[in-house]
Amino acid sequence: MKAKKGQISALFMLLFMFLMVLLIAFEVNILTADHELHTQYEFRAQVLTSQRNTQITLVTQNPGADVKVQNNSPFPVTITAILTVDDYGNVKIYTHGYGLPATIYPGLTVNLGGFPQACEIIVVTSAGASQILKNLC
Amino acid sequence: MRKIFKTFEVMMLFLVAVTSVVLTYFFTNQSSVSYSYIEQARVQAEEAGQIINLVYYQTQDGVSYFYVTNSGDYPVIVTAVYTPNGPAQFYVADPAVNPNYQNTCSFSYSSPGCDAAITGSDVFVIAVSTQTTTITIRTQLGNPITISAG
Repeated sequence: MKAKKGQISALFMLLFMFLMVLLIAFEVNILTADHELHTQYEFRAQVLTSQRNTQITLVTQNPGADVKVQNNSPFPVTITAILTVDDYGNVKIYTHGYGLPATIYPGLTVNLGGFPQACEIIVVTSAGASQILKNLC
Repeated sequence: MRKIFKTFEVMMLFLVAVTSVVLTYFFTNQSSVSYSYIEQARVQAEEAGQIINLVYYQTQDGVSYFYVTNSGDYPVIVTAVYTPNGPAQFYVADPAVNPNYQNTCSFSYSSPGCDAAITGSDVFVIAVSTQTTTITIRTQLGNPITISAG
């Protein structure tokens, strides 16, 4: 009888432990999903804020001349791509070469070099902000 | 000693009973709500990590080209494109990988004719076979993202 009681107690203990493990796993799942959500919201807010506050000035002397980008934002800006549009409307995208990606620190100007003759030049930053220079031809 | 053991046994039984009730509640009545909450949180996190920006817009020969980047950290898989006039044929291309995209990518209503996902730091093209300045893309998650050149 005593042995039977012991067995029942052990069985209850096992069941209890199993249920606790299930409950903990369930809670961990909820907490992980919550954490991921908050992290992503924070990340999104940071990117959008950086996008809003990005101020870059694009300067070039004449078609085919060096393109200079000045960072007027209070934080470093990374140029990830440059688009050029010729007078036929052909768009060329530069993501590598020409010193890209280029990080420009606040107040500094970076010379990205000379690009093929274009009517429009668009500079794109890692935060998705862009600046366009028109009427170059 | 025996009394202590008895008390402990009763306590354990009580705990098992309470836990069972709580778990049964979670996994039956609440389970669908709780699981859908987890799923919803994951989908919302993924949506928050998809940040599409228009960097250049162009229209040529009746085709609208939206040059976009994804500044987020989740890829955007475009499954459909809508204009103010309804669904439109489209393709998504990465000109850095396929500079000849205008000749090689094909328009379709449902599946991207070239690249599947807008990812990383590349500039992608969403070409729409109609003249429009505003499109709404439907992602694989089902959330709409509006891109406007207006």
